[in-house]
Amino acid sequence: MDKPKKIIVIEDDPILSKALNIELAGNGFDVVSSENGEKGLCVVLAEHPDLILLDLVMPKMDGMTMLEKLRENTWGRTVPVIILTNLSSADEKRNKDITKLEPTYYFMKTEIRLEELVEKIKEKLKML
Amino acid sequence: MSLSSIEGSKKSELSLLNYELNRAQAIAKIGSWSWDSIKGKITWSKELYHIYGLDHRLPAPDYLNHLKLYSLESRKILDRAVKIAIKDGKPYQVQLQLFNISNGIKWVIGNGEVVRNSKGKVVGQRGTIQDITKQKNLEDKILHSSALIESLLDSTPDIIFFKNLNGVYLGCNTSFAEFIGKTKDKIIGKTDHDLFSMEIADTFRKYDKAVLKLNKPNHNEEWITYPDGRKILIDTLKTPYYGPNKEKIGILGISRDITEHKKLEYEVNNNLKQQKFLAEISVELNQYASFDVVLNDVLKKLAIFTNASRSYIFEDSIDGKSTSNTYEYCAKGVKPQIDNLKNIKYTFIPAFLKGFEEDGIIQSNDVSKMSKDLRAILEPQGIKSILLLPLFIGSRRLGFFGLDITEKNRDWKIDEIHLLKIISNSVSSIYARKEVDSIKSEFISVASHQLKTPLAGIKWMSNLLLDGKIKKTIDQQNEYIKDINYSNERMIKLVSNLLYVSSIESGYKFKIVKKKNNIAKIVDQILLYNKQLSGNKKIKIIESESISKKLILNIDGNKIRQVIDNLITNAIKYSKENGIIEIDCGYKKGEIVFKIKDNGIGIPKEQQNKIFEKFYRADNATKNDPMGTGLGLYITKLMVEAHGGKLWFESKENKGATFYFSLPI
Repeated sequence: MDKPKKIIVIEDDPILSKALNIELAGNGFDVVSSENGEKGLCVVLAEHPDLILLDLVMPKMDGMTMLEKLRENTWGRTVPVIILTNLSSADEKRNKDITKLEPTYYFMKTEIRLEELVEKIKEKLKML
Repeated sequence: MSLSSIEGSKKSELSLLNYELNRAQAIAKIGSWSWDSIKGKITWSKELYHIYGLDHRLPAPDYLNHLKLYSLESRKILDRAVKIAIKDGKPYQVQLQLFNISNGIKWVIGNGEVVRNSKGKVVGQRGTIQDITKQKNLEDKILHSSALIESLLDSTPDIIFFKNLNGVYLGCNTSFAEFIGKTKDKIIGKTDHDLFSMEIADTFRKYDKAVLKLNKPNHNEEWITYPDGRKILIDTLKTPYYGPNKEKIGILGISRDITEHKKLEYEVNNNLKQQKFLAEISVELNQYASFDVVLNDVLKKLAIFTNASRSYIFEDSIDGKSTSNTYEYCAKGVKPQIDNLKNIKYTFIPAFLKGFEEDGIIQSNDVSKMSKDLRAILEPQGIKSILLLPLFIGSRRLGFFGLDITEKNRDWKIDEIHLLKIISNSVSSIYARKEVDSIKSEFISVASHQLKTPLAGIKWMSNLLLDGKIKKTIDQQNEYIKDINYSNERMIKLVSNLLYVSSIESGYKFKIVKKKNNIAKIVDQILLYNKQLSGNKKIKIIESESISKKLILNIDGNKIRQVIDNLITNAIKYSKENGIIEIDCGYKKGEIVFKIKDNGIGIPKEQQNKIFEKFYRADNATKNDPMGTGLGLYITKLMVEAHGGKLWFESKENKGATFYFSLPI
């Protein structure tokens, strides 16, 4: 059996973090959680996961800053990152900034079901 | 021819002579008299009788009686003259006034001389009396009317003068004399070159010649200085004037001080211009353009209107300790400074703050005379004159607004300063509007994000429960349901907070429904709900004994629950890891006072007076919890006050905060 794919969840809301953890673990992923960008960046650079789920609005270091720093890293430049947020995509300036950082997807938490999310992750990691 | 006929012809010759003499005297209005002192005989000509108004058939009165025909004054004059003539032997001429009931008043000239015989002895006197009443009346009239003209000329504040063709002053009024600073007699006979400087005199002369050549009146306005230094603007009308035969005699000038008039005219014009300008600016400020476009346009219009070299806005930093040039307009050829003037610390320019605090304005027509700190920053920019006004929203200073003049020194006029005050108020108000707008849009984005987080929690936890592929125990299922419930409660709290605010905005007042409530129960419930949050940060919560005792209070349970909940949630949110929170209460002067103390991040001093404002969040709070709404403390305070209580706090940044609220018992 293949080594499970590792996913790091960076999310400050405990309930949302918990739901993602359970869903991903239930689908056979190796999941590590982090509750803000600062800690998340350390964990990500240490663990080199296959994919990152990233919240944007978080204390200490927000998701955008974390992603910027991640993209400066040689390894971090190409790692797939899915942004999961509740910030509306109406802010054009933010959209441009995010596009520059090349996320794999930008999903609204209230609009995506967990199964859908898992499907998208598997698709990206060529597990289907 | 017989002797008698010769005598007769001689007689008739004499009488003819006498007749002609009488006629001549009557025409000339001259009467004659003689007095033979030897014979004691007085002879009057017929005309003399006529002048005196006496019947010529009567004998002539003697000297003393004849004196009675004169006025008292004239009697003295005549008597004195006669006596002197007798004594010195010289002829006399006097002007006398006659009084006669039938003739009225008459003026005469009396001539008289002493008559001597061949040996030189005085043998009598003779003389003439000439009636000059007509001439005298005419002369009086002329004198009277010229006096009238003179008084008229002197009574006008206008300056009046007349010169001959060669520029020699023939006359002037007292206003002119005052203007020159000399008496009239020192002016008449002089030319402009005697009275004014060469330059001014040349100008006047040139102008005079032009008027004479044109041969018609001409107006001219010019500034002149009085000998005492007073400066006035005069309007001069110069016109050639003519003699009785239409010959050009000279030039007549009338000058009027129009300084006040001009000033008024200028003020009225200026007022109109200012009003028009303000109307334009107000249209500008209210149009639906972006903030930057509006400000840049206002600065440009203002600089052009006031003829300033630069107009600009400085915005203070959040802590108010430094300031940056954020908007600037430069007139053509003036070097922009905006990039050089960023983050200037007020400690380097203390005179700025002092000036704003003391006079509410900084102005100078000569920057080189300002304090050292100001010169150090203004002179390198080439500023000669400056005007600065602070911008305020309420009592909070946003920055300032200013005008520079670089090419020369310039006095700031009161109306300019007034205008700038009006505009600075308008600029402040668009800043205030921008703040409200950004707070509102920020609030909408924060509120929608806040609402979506628990919604996503409900969605995902339900996804897990319903997902058949993921196996879960009954305990796990219960846990997920609790999470759904918690998310739901969070949403309810948030929605009710939002509804509270929106109903308060539309004038709603809290209704307080008081019932007996157990405080310990309320606090325990709150702590239970927040257990997860406080657990994550390993926060220790200490309840005092007075809380855990069964304290029963008559309060609106839901409202006070929300108050305590908000304060405890804040304490947890803003605590660091391993923080300590103490909850206590005690009685004090008819009140019960609750205390919630944490040792967390605290509230920065300069932001402490704002934390109860709606939507306001302190900087460090936003950093720690990016998605608070800024409504919690606002609502909490309203709820405590609705109970007749008070809410307050003590805090030091990075040391923690202690919130107190009191309720009357």
